[in-house]
Amino acid sequence: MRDRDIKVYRPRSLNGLLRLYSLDPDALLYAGGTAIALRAAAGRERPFRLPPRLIMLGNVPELGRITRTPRHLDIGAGVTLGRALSTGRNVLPAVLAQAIASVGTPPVRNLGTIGGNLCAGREDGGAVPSALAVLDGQVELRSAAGARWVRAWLAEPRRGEVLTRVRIPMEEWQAQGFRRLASGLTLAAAARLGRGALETLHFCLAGSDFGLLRSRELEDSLKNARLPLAPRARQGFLRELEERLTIPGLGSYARATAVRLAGWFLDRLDEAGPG
Amino acid sequence: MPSVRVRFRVNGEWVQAQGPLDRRLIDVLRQDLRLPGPLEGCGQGECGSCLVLFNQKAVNACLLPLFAAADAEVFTAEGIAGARAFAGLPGWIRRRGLAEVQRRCGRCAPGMLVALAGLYLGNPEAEAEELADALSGNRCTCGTGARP
Repeated sequence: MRDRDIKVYRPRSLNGLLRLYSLDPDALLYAGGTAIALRAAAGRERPFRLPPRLIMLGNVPELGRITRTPRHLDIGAGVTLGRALSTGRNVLPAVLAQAIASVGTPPVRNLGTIGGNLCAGREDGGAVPSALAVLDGQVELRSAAGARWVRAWLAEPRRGEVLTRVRIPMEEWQAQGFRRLASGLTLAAAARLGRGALETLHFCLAGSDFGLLRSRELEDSLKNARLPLAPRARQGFLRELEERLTIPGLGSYARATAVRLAGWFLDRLDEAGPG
Repeated sequence: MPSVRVRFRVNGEWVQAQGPLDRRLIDVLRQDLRLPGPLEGCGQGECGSCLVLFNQKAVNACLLPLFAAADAEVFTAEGIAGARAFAGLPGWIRRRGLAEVQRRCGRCAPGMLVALAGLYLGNPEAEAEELADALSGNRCTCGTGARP
């Protein structure tokens, strides 16, 4: 496996991986490799730009685990997108399942991992990060020096850190929605409904032009609103969203499309509400 | 470009291959091992022409670098056709009304066979929706456009 020019490490435990990575933080962590291969195939990096030292993550058992407790679901960063879908169809929140299913084709999802998607897959429009954003997902970043948890959609490991798992709170959502357009514009949303009203709304838009947009203030503007939504509340929310999307580089058509996507989810809320 | 030497199993037999770090699995299968089943199509994981079973999962051989195949078990369409583990596959495909997969022009049939073999191994009780999903990574590249 080794040539004098290249080193490919295959750690067999998380501790071994962290130790190795602390000694050689310039090595490339390699899991599914789809982001690298797709960038190369698209001609942006041809041939594959790989450093001569690689750390393969496939043999680290801790990265391949899915565990569930009454409070949360933990998905190891090395779990492929396909496995997350197939083992968790009844466990994964619908918005996350739909987001994962929107990434690539089934064979690509058999290679690509959830950790890889969060760390290297931002070019795909942010489908999985946007779903994790509405679910308040977190990721664990570990290094030989310790561990820290950060919000999943902001996962940017520092030098020497490895994204080891994703944690999703197990909460009940009465309405969930996910849409991803060919342009890459993505909407993920989840809501809790109760006593004829919208108790909680989590709402995230993602696009290559503006990254991820989630605003607590915007979400709270509909807190406790009666369902179906009054035209004034609905229009106020959409107007506010449009203002927040006034971002340099984002065209009026993309903005209008994003607002239409938001309207689609509000329609779903009206249907899910008591009527 | 640094090079790697890798040992892995292809259609039940151990093989050894060598190449630069960016050499793809599909190139080894077609050029070194003379296996015509995996075809070069889009080269970016969209058409499914190059599918192989990689540790029992259908994956795009055009996206896999050789070094990632170390110690892996790979089956190509021709290996699936001859392996005992897949003896029930033709009947399974027929019973699901997908017999025309075997009557394709030859361009997309190998990829579809691999996609179905992956599903057969993972979930032999798959419903129609799952069959459709399993084949959603396979595109007809000959132009007839037909799908099972």
